[in-house]
Amino acid sequence: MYSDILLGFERALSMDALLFCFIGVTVGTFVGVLPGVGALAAVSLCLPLTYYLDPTIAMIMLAGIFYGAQYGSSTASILLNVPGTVTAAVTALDGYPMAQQGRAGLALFVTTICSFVGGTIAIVLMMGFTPVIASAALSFSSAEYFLIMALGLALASTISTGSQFKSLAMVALGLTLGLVGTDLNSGVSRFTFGRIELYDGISLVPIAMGLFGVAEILNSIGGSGSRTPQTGKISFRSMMPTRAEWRTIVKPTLRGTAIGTVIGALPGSGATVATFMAYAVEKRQSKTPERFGKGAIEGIAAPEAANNSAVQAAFIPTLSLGIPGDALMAFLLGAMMIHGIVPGPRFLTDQPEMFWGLVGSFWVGNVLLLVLNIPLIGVWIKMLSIPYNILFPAMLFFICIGVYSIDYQVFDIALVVGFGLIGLVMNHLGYPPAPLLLGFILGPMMEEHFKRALLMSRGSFSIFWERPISVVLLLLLLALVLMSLRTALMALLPTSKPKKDGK
Amino acid sequence: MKSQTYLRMAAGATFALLGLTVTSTSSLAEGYPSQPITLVNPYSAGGSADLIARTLAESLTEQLGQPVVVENRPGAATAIAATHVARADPDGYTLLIASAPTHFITPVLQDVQYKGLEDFAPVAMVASVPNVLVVSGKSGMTSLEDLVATAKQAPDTLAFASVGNGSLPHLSSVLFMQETDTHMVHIPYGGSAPAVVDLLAGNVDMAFLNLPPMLPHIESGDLVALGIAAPNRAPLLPDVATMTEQGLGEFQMSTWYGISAPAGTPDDVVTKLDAALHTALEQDSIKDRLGKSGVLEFYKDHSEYAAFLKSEATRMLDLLTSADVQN
Repeated sequence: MYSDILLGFERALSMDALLFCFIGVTVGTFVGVLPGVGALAAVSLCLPLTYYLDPTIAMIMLAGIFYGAQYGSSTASILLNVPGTVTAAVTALDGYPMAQQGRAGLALFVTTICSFVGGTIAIVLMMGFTPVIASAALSFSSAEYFLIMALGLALASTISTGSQFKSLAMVALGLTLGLVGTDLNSGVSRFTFGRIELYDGISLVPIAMGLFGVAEILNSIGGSGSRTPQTGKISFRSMMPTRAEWRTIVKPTLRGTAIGTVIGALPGSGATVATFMAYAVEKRQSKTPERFGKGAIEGIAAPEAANNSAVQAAFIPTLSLGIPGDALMAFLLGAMMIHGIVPGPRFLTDQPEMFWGLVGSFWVGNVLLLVLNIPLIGVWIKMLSIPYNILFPAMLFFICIGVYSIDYQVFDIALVVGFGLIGLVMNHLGYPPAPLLLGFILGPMMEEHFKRALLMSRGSFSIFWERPISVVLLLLLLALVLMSLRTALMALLPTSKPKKDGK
Repeated sequence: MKSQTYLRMAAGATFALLGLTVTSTSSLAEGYPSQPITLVNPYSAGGSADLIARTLAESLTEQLGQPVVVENRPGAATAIAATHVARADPDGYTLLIASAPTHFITPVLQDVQYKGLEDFAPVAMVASVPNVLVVSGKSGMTSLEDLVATAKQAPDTLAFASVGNGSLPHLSSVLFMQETDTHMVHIPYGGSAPAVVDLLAGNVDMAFLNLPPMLPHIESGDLVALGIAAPNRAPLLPDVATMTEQGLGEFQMSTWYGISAPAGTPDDVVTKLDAALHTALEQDSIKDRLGKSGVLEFYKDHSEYAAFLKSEATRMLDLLTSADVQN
């Protein structure tokens, strides 16, 4: 095994591997920074190039784009509240307030470091335990996935500040929007109004870009530009967290990594769920949850660690079982199959050079990203000094291009504009967009897994407590619900005059 | 006198112009292609269809002297791409990677803005991917007889996985149940990946799926291949008998891919494209590239392809009816 690891690093550190790894992570970073332009669009563009490359090198480059995009995606969400990818919408919750307080440099620095730590720990786990994790992932089926999604939903109302009722209302709206599309089991189309663009449901990216990015830009129209742009030189010192801040982010980063690795390694859930859960868990266990949403540094550390570790962990089922967790992983698998390499249970033993070379390149890539991203922070912050009447139209332009590039559908541009308007109204009325997004992501997955679990059990609900893992999840869920009820009651009981938050 | 000459000149010019337009429509193929061609793929980047599209596009670009660009327009069970091509100008500049869903399954199942087969001009059949009947290694079943016997013991004790209502894996299992007079529970999945997870774990018992991605699991024994749902054995798995060899009638449920143009595309354009595709598929380098990922060259010229489509349409409609898939 040691010789295999050495072999892998030897491959990853060879000149061609380094070069293509660098190209991959650089492209990834920039793709991540641009709102809406997903990593999938970028890897699709690079696919023809890989026909002519050695398969290992090709995978190193494509994978680099993928995890590089996760690094870059938090940039625009922190600076402008315009998330580069859906997962970065979570980073915006606390990252954007930090930028408004003039702490953008710090926020970007922390996300880079946490991304690095999260990614690196996930790679170590991947090196040591890939076969174990892969076989454990197989004991998760629809009953377990349904309960994980239910857990996520139980945490959903936690992720926003202000009124719990408004949050719950938004979760419900998100779940409702998730109903649109063809029902997998019956093939019946629901709420599509005969538009084929809606047969697969409303696309996620236009919703996220609309509610966060476009709404924010629309909101600024007529504003006097009251932001606090960071003026002067961005010194390295100003980006560095203080000793106290370092201490605050250690545990959230580790918790985020743990959540990201576990959820990310399951082929049926993915980085978005992991990121939301990491944030919610962090806020729930915090002694000062009221700081969240107002620039809490833990609020960016945990989700950033989670999404990067999830992205790395997603390679585990893809490489060791040949099972891709999402469209991007499916694409990478397809790119390997073009070279006649079919990942599966024997991939690790049959192709040690490729597996370890790839894993080794993740390390190299993460280091490159760290080196690439920290000097870039100053450049990104300079973006804020671009006059808004130039910057915002440019952002809108990129959002439209990005959303269009996913499926070449003009309809998606209409959607992003529509959700931008809805987001604007929600913003004015004090309804938070994050719970809506979470409800929308979890709803369709929950429904699918719930129905499938019942099909497997031929209609008996006992499937949810007959399987060992599902029992544990069910108990966790019950505990969480009871705890929430207790806090809700406690909040009602002692003070007969309830202090209203919000106006 | 002068005015007459002008008149004559004007008339002559008009006739000349008319003549020009007439000749340009009648022999469109001579100048074809004079601009880039778009090959629309209804599936996402990275899959078999994408590989076929890109490999052929490269060769067509070389042969025709104009860039052939692949455009992935996935979604709505291929309806988005198919609608786009069905509505495009029938001039040979917009082509579709065709499959059973684009031509007959989706138009029946979904409320789409095109009719199906009649909206397309068949250009050529190009490739196929064999499907294999696999059961979970955990099921203890090792032969087709085992499977049929277990299924016959009691209806609905076994469950089969598919990638959605009316999908080829679904219809294959429906055909299987017809041929063996059994009944199993249908569990649809959003794609083959989650279906394989449950097959590996033994949560679902059997499925007909594309062979190439199943190969490592078959080799490791986690999945057991019981039969090939194609007319011939698969080169990747030569020891596994076809369903037909095992007495299940004409069990042909391969995933095929063709190239179709919008209906009304001039015949000479179709012929020219067909010839170019034929040349492409004769090349060893192309066969190799496709073969590496388990895609078989499966060329039929435009008239054979048209005949194939006609007979397939009836067969698929019958299966859809007996599968009782609702719109």
